[in-house]
Amino acid sequence: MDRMIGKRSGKYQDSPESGPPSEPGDDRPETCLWMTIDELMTRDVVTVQENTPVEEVFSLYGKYHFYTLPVVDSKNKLVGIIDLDIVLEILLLCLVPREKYTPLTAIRSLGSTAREIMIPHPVTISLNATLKDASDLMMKYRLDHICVIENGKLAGTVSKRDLVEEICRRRKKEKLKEKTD
Amino acid sequence: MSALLQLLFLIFSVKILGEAAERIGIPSVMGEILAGASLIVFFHDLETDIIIFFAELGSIFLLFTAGYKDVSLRSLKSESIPALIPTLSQIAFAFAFGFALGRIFEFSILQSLFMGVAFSPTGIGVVLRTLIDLNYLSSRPGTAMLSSAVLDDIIALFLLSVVVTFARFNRIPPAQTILIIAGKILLFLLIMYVSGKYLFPKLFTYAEKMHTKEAVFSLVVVIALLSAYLAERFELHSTIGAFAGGVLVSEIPLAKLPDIQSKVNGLANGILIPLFFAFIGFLIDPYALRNAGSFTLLVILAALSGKLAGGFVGSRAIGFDFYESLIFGLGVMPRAGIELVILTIGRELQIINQEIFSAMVLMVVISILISPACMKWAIQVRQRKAGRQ
Repeated sequence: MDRMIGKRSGKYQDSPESGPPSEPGDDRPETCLWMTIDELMTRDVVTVQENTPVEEVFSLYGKYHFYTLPVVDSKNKLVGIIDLDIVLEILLLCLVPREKYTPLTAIRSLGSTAREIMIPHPVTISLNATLKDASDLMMKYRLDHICVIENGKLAGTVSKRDLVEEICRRRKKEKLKEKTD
Repeated sequence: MSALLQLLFLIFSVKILGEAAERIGIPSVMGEILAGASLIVFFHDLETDIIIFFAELGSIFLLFTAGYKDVSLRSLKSESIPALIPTLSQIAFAFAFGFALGRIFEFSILQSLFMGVAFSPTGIGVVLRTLIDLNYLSSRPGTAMLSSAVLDDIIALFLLSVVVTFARFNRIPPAQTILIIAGKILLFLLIMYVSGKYLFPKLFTYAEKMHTKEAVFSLVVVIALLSAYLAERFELHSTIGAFAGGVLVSEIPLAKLPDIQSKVNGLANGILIPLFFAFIGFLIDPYALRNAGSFTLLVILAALSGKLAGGFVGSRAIGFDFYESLIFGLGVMPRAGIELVILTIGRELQIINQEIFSAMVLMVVISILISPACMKWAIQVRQRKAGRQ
């Protein structure tokens, strides 16, 4: 298990999208749409190396309450993800519906390392994409987490919770400001 | 109006009979074939053009989803290389048995070659449940079967593309023509590879940003149909192109999103593929089967024994014991989806007639019914013997 150390950066950058850039200290809820992922994402991510034994992956799921586990190579390049659906499918193979009995499911159930059970080619988002980009992906394709990439390397993850927390924080601040005005 | 009613009846009956088959412990494809066979009982003026249209789409999506979801060369481990020997052995035996049977019945070389190709694929999905239920998936024969299944489909499709190309000339073409055909096939593969590597990922990035509904899902469907069309243009069969398209799309993250996979799966396995299986049932002619007589019985015997003997010999060669080899041989006996696609192609190109087609479909049905039961018996015998020792 690897842990990428660091907290959310809080550093503001210009958005690549044509929208109002968020200025430091501008906490209006609507401006957060143009916040970059860099400001939002969780950098403190638990990851596993591609050759991590499957049993270790299972014990991580037993220990932590996460849904998606990024799999990285020795250069911290993202090579895939493991999610709870895969773990459940392997642990309860005998209960998997018949329509899902494919050679690929069976081969995955016999995997002994993270690489052999992971989903290769996960959807990623770049560090300077905006909250709007992330929410578009999440809402369109029902994604809960997206891995954030910087030069091909895993920089962190952004989740629906990160987005909701940021928006709620800004709404709360805006309401407080209205009251004091 | 009648077409709508027939389509409605087909979709409803494939689901009901497919479910009935699953409930009695056999794959739903059996119920779906039966649903198609029953169509003639309920409707006298069949709208065959519409049924054929949906069945063609079904066969394209069957192969597309095989490439998109089921077959992954990356999943083959280095330990699975030894499985190449029993895989090649079972394909070679099955092919030889099919070809020999064709020659015995004085079929042309092309027809005999087609018989060989049609005997080659394996429907491993049929025995997966048995392997899992008996906790035998991680055994040596189990893992070898899985590796074999991935390689098997690819080899069978390669052989099919060769025979389909020959069939377009209605004979084995001269060497110069073969070279031109080989060049065309290579060009097709090159175009597909370059598109899959550079064009398709860009298209998906644009589609993801589009405001119209389901743009990414639509793009997956467009690529399935485009690959099928391109293959036809390059003198391959559309289904082979669809398979290549599926393999390429499976490498693109946006196309493999669970949400998109679920929609493709819904369209393919919910509607189109069952309609293709129903179409197979609809094409079975009981009178042709009766006329075929002993040929049907010989097709069944040759197809099943070819796989069994090839699987057994190949497994022995890599050090499996008697029962392990027997289990492997029995496990690679069933035929399913890809086999049925190959048969419809043969019928469509008039390489095989109605009698051969019906006999071969019956062989598929029998193989699906008996393989899991025979393999279960062999596994239990082996486990009992191992328990005694």
